[in-house]
Amino acid sequence: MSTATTPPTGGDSPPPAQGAAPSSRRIRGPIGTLWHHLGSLRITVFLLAFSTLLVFLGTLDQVQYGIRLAQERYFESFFAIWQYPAQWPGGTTFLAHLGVPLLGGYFVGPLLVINLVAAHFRFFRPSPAKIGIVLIHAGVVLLLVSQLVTQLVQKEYYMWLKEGGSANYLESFVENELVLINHSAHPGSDLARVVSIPIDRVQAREAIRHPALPFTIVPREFFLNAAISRREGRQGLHAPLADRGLAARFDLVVEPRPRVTQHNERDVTTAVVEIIADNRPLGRWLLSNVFDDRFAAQTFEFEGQTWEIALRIQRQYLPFTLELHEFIHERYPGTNIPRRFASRMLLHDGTHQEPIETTVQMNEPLRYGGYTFYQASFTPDDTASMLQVVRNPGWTGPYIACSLITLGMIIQFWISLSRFTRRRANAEKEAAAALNPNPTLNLPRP
Amino acid sequence: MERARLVTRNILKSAAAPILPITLFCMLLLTACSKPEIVIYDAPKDPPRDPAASPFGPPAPSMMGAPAGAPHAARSPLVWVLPEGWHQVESTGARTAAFHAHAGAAVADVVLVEFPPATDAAVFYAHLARQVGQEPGDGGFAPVEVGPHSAQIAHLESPAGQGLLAALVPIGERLWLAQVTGTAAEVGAMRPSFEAFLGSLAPAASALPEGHPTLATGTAGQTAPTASPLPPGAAMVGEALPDAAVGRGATPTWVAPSHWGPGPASSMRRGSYRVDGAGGTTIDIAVTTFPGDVGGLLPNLNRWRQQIGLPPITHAELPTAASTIQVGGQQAIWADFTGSGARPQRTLVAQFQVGGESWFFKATGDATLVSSEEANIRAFVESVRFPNP
Repeated sequence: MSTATTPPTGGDSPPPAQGAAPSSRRIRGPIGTLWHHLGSLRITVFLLAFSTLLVFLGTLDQVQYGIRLAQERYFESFFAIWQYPAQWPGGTTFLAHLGVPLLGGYFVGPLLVINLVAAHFRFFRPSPAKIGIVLIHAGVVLLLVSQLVTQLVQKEYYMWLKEGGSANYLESFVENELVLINHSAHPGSDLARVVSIPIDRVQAREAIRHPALPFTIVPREFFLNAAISRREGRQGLHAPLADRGLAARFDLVVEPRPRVTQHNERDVTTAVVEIIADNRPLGRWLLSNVFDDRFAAQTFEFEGQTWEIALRIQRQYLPFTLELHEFIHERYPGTNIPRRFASRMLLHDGTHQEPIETTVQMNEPLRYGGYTFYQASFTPDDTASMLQVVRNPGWTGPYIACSLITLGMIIQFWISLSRFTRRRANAEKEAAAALNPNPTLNLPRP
Repeated sequence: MERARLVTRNILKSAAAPILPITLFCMLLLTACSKPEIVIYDAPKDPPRDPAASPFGPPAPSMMGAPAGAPHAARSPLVWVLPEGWHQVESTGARTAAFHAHAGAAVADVVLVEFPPATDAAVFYAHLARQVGQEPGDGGFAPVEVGPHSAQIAHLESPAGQGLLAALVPIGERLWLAQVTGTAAEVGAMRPSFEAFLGSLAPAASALPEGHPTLATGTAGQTAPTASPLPPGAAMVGEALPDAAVGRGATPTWVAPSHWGPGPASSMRRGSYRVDGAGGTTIDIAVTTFPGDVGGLLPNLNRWRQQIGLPPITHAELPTAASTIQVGGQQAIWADFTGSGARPQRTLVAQFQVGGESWFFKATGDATLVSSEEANIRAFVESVRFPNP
């Protein structure tokens, strides 16, 4: 493959300045042709306009689907289908069945980056005078890449703390896990051995074996969302196969439900799993993430060891502990309108002699150990506080990107301003020279 | 030689250009698609489970069958079994719980409210009688046995055909008022299921099997249960801010008398009027809206009383301090307070609770001037119309 510089062939190429070098380079061969088209400025304009449309439609559909689902459908997918809203004019007619296929965020974002890079190489000529443009382009590309990195690696959790209570783990907003906890793994210790199994394995209903488990777990039933209640004479509801634990004790029935979509709701993910050891069934348990710490743990004994089994909201343990000292909720006088929320906490970290006193409040999060803790919610009686916790290893990316863009714009503006002032000074000199063509005839001023 | 070096460099540069971003994204997408594995780790054992230690208290009786976000469900000290055709709805203010009840074709609303045990039944009856336009002296509560409870029940009907069925049920150290409202025929049809519901009421603690948190003593699983990271009743910070709430619900219309002048403008006011009287006396009429119930009825009443120099009242005095009126198909709380002193102030206020918002139509000013304008103020309040949901 060889390269050669050729004049721009696309109608979308900017016209070269008079006397300047051609503004486009062409790589020969099929890759060159593809690369040439990928760098089209028409594609840039189309993608930018399409991104705006995608954000607009995705934002509108947050009302219908909730933030999480709308984000999944429009921005975390390669393709999306937009449905004509029923609330719009004619929404109850055939338009309601109108589905418009769209490119999703995973398609548009990378294409925009490739287009930006291709256009840069296609049209850009290195020059000290264009260092600002290089920085701006680099910043925009870094911004897009950072967004993707954030989307892929950022984790969001929450932590509930009651006044006087403490916690050393976070819980996921969306993920669940099946856990087998061996309380006898460390005799005399307050540590337990936790085997965390991704919920996808339970949903797949495949037998789960692992060297850390002396038995086999066989998922028998799985519900992404369900209603669990006592039977109490009601007919027609599904009686799970469970014969141990809470289900057996309280005669529970399960009713499958459609998944919830709103951001303040959560699916009651439920499963029935059977434990089998040496081809001998130990029992079947009804597990659900609704069986939180308000319910008795479901345990069983095997080979002299106590095991706990649970389907719970996925946990992330911290190397430190947060203790809620006081939750503060101030209102504007005479109203119920909140003025200030704050959680006064003690942070216990083994690396420090004394606990660290800290306060988390609106717009003043706590950043510690790679986590950021935001004040998010509270209970109606103001005795418990919820912190939203974010871990984003790529959090510096957008800051660097924005800094690059800002620096690039300042440099480019400064270069243009310098050029402009220089030209004006030259023009003034030329004008002065034109008005006074023979300076030697000037007489000295008195 | 130099030319060959330049060509080679350009080839490398040009070939690398498209590959770099594509490779980067492929790697990132592969990372995203990686399958999660079983993870083993040691973690501190959880402390012994104590429902009372949970930020949300013991599980609500309706935890596995009630609508998500029923604010008082998680804190209700009572459990109950819902009759067929009943379902729990979101309750507001001082209500412990609220329900929509169906009995055949009849549909009625049911509320459950907690009161101190010493509250006089005659006070309740007087308040209820006024609701249906009757004189309080015409009747009273009748004793009735419902399940394990010795309750008192009253069945009232208004001349306009509205019905009201109310029961006072002492449970534990508290007194519970349960009330059914609807048309007279609907309320009459509800009586058997209402009594069955009263008979099922029990303190939450007694429903705990062998000291264990109850699972679902209450609702009959009619609506989608959802466990949320936000427990029932927990307010999101953003939702509580006025900017997020203003305009969220339906905006009513009203008609102000033509002789009322414009009142002071304020970002909090949706309507503002002023009436000038002799000797510099004035009435300030304000229409305001706030999310939720703005702290509940009693704090609101006491705030208004405080504004005109009156002492606060207690919960037991609520039935005599405010009454309920019907305006355009909407129920409203109506309060009328007159201050004391040489130039007493008087406040007339109507509070509507619609679409999760409270609307206040409040007139405050010189007591004499307010009295002379009372008919106009009442007409103003009665002209309020909320759009159909």
